[in-house]
Amino acid sequence: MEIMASIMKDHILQLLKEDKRIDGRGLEDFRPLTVETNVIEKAEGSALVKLGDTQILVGIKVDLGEPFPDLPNMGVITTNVEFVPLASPTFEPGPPDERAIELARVVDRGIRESQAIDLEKLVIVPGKLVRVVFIDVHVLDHDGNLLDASGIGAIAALLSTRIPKVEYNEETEEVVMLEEYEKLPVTRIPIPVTLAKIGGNLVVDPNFEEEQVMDGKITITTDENGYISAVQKSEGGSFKLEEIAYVTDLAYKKASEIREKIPGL
Amino acid sequence: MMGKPEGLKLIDENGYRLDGRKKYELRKIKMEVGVLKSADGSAYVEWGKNKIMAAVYGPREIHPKHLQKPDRAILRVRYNMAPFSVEERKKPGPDRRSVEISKVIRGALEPAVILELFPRTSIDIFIEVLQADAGTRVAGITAASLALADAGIPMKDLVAACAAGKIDGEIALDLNKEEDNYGEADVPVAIMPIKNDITLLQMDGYLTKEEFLEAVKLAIKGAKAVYQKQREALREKYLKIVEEVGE
Amino acid sequence: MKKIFVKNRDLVVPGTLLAQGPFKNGRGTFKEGNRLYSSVVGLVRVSNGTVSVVPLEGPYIPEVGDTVIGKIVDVKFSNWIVDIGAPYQAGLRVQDVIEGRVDVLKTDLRKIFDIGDIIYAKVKAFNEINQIDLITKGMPFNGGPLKGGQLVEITPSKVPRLIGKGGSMINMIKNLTGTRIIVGQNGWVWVSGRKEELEKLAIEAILKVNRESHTQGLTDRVREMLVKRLNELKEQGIIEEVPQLEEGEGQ
Repeated sequence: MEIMASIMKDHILQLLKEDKRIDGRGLEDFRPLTVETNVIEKAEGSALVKLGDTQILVGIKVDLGEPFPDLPNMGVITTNVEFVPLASPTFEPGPPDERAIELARVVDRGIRESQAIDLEKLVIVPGKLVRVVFIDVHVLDHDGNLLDASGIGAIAALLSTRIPKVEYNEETEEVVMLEEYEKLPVTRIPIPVTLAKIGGNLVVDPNFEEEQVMDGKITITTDENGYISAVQKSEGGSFKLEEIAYVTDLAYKKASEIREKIPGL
Repeated sequence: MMGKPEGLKLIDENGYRLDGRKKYELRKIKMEVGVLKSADGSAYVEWGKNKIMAAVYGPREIHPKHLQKPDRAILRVRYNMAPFSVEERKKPGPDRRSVEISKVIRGALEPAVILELFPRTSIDIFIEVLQADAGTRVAGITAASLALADAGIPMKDLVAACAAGKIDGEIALDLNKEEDNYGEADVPVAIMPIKNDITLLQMDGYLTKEEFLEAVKLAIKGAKAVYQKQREALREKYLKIVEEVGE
Repeated sequence: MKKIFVKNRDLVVPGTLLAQGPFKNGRGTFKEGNRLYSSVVGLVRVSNGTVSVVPLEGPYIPEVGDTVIGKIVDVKFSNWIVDIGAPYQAGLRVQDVIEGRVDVLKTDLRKIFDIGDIIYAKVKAFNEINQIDLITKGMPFNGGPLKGGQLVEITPSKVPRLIGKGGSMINMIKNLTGTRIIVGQNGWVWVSGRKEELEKLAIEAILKVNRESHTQGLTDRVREMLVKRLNELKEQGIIEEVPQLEEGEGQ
């Protein structure tokens, strides 16, 4: 594995000298992206994302539950990512992988901090009953850049989510689910964009081989209002301030291109 | 970020923050190197109300063998919060937040450590948060970097860290707990100052590009001040003995 | 342009700029372009165009020819595994212990060195994959095992200070405390005395050297400390006499 990685690294670096990548892309090119929604009928919302050979399935389940005591007037969202062993020889069964935890938290921050979901609209009885939105990301095939694929899948799945309307009877304290459905109050479309640093070069949307040899990577999540809602430098390596500025600009540009591929937008 | 109580001002009309600091002022920071006997290297950092202990063990051969890297040492980081470190008791053991922070701290320190010198070994870094008041990861990186130097592990530079954020619509340095809770964003940054290499960068909040870059620059400035303190703390430990014997 | 920013025995920390230009980078330093930086906490040493930093802390890195104290941690079919305080465990093969041909089927290696035994060995090889081979053949007492006594650990970089010029420091400690002391270049020191109190006293002196190694007049201070404690031991009736040093010893 180690020797393979070093040969691969030499090869990738050699190509990068001429601004080329092993799969023929330019440094600022994403792989082909498709987003298909409503692929799981049992889930309230879902999306299948294919980013090159990376495949991610996101399912949204919505329950009723209690709000957090310190946030009585807000619904709850929670994001979970599973690296199932079917998706990669590098995934092991067992407790959540630290990479999966980091990925889930960065996707979650991008959505939460941009207030992509209007959590106040998820309140049924303040302090007592709110909607709880579970964003579950299932990695099916790991060919790199799971984060961007997951973030894209999460917001696409949220946009596709339909939930039954509820009625609350204050006198009987009964909650009645109606046959009528409504959309989740999704108000912003945050999109993560990741660049890897490989021997001083920056490449967007790194594939698996590139991730194996990269020094580190950085993800910037932006929304259509021009705001950043999450930033994460991950793994090793380091970045210069100018590189951060470049990455940020590119993240805006790429995010707006990606937004056009999301169904229903 | 939580909903801010009605009327709470984090920066007053004279530009002072709740704890009396100005916008670009760091909290009081104290550092001490070599505070634990058992560890190969250790450091203690008090940063405002944060109290952080870091210890380093290694380099030592790792078992099981499949964890070894044939060409370098591996760095392992465990960031852990003591149950009594926060207002409400924290359940002991790693939660998802600690797992993420451990991972990004590892990424922040890795570029500094000359890992190629010790193939097949591990260098283990333990960061214990004894009291938390926002900014524990930057204080933890600062302490861990001192502990690495104290363990005699060769490094390309010390890693210094600091955060900046946005409160009441303004970019400010080194947020404390209240500011972090009711502020609009937090941007922790770690650097290797010699070459201005950024080794940790996160953002939690909602900022424009201009605000984000302003926060990064401000955090870098803060980290450089932290760096000076780190160098002093290291020198102090090793010069102390000379002074003690009066020569 | 050739420029040096530090002088001999300056205390530096990782990332301190030491020199610029065509200097050779010695231990404890690294090069970044034509600039030379310190990679450890330590004291600067400049000689013949080489700038190095002698670390004040850090692991023992073996060099071929080093004599070390080790502890047997495992006994295998034809070799022993030895802890010498380096990042890697060392190996000791039976042919590097016993002269002549050895029939490993008929030899119980545990009867030579058993787990927990303290040995005195030489570093025979230390290769690029960090395999450390030891040899005890030809060492004093055939390498041990060293029976009784106690093991003390000091920072490897301070071993020369403990030995002193021409052995002045270590001989003074040995003679005043009447103990047998073997110093390994790995910083492991074996101390064995007739009386427990004297063993403890020798260890105290060794640790004092470790702590104050980079100060001047250390030999005098260690001697003063030892003589003072020995007089106390004499008053308590633990020893009969305070040994006298010969002319020139401990200077």
